[in-house]
Amino acid sequence: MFNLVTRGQAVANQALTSSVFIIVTIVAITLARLYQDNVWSIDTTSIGAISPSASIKYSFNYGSTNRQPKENAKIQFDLDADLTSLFNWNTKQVFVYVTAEYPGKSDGSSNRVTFWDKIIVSKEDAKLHLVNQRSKYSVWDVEKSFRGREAVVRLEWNIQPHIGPLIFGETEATATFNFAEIEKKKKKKEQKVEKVEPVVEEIKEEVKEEVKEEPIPEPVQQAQQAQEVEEEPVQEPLDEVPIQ
Amino acid sequence: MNIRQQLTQFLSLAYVFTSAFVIWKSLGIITNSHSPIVVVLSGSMEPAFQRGDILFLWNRDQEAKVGDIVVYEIQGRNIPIVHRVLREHHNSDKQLLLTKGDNNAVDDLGLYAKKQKYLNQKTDLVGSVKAYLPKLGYVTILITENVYFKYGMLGLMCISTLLTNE
Amino acid sequence: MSSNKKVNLNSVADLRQNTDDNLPAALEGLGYEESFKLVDTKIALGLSTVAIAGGLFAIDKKYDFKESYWITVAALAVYFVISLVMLVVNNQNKNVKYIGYSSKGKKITIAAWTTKYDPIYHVKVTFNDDPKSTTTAELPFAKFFDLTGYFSRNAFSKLLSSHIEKIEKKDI
Repeated sequence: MFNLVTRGQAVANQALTSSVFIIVTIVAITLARLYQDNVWSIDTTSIGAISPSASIKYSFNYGSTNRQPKENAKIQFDLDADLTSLFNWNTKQVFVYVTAEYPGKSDGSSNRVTFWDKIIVSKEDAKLHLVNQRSKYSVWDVEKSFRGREAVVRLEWNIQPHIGPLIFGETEATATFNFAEIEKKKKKKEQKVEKVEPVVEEIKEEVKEEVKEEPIPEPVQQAQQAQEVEEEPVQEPLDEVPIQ
Repeated sequence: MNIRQQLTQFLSLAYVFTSAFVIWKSLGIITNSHSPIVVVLSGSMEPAFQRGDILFLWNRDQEAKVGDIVVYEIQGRNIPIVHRVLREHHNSDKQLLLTKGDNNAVDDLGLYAKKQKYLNQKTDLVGSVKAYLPKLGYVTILITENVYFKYGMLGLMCISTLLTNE
Repeated sequence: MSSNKKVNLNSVADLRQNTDDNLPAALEGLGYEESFKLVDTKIALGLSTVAIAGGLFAIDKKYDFKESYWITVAALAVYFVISLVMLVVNNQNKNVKYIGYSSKGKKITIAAWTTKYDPIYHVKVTFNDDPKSTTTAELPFAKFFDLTGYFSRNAFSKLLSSHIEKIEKKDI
């Protein structure tokens, strides 16, 4: 230990080994604590009073391709949850989100969407009591419409630690609802699409995963057929065998 | 000087670089990701991730789950983006994802390529974030953004190897 | 051969390194000719790992991850195999600093090491790879480094040869 370089190296080596050891210990303690607090089976939650609503959107930002009608869904819900057991000294933040899982068209296909999420930073804010909470996001499916399918709603959480692995889980509470269906009188709105100028967008080679719309009512179909000639072959819906 | 001595000295210096590189490549193969350790560069995932945090990725999951934090790159652009999966749709062949940064008001639709509505889980993802170290990556931000720092560090490494005989 | 330079008497590592460097000269004086087979093997293995790493680097620059995946796996596998071989070679020749042959064809292997803070040069001399004809000697650095830090070849050669002759006599 007679010169700076050797001393520096020795210190660095020691620092490295000790920090690895410390981190491993921290992670082990955190996980043990979480197991102890039974966080993977939080049953002090309830979700209910889900009232779904649906609307038709035509903008790309709401899932529409080429200004075709796209069904968007939102829900309102009540939520009670006590997530205080997720907070320990190694918890930096907890991300909670309300998801809805519903089936797709073919066997083995499934979808899961987030309607609402929230970042909880401290233990004091970890008790949630929401009444008639509006969903944060307007949700659309890969298909053109939700077809009134049944969805299972869950409250899921994600612990972001100060150091270590990200931890995920879901609470025991579940609820179900059926997606709202658009009333038939909306047909008038769909007919208007015929008069809209076909928007020819640049087809680049990297176009990915274009989802073909479901068979749509007659009047609009003709307009769309005119458009389709100019487009690249559109890919099949997710639940059928993809072309490429 | 003796050529054998010179070669031996060269080898001990080269060893530092070759072993570091081999470890990096092995990590990439094990995790199936071309960049298994990333440093957070933007604030779009705050307060979870800050600039300078180190993320450890894993890319051998069959499917991503809603709520997972993933790193993806849009085809044709080399910028990795770290965001959370907001929605997923899958069948037995593939999975499509929609992502959003926690600190952003809207989802990532505007970040994708033109006309791209979803990410493909198999081809667009660099990996999903499994673990996290705070702030230590700031050194690499300094190295990439501050030229003097980079060469200073390299120089220090070389000197320290040449001077050690233990 | 390194020209005589002042060695830091407080660094056991420096003392040992300097003595190692002077071994070939000392043994030449005792009638041995150095064999470079081990050194060359180590260098060759080392260079091949550098070559592989270099190749990997070039591939990494040129091709993207998915394309180069299996080549990378293969190259890494070869790298680790060679590293393993190097590990074994080094283990079997632990601390060997000199291998030479006498005019009569007798092989001498000299291993030398130091413990971290003791200024003692441990020397293990083996003849003809025979574990029975091995002697280990402890040569304090003080005996062949003078007060100012200069290496004394005469003192070292004398000290070394006295130990070697002990075994030589035993052999014959």
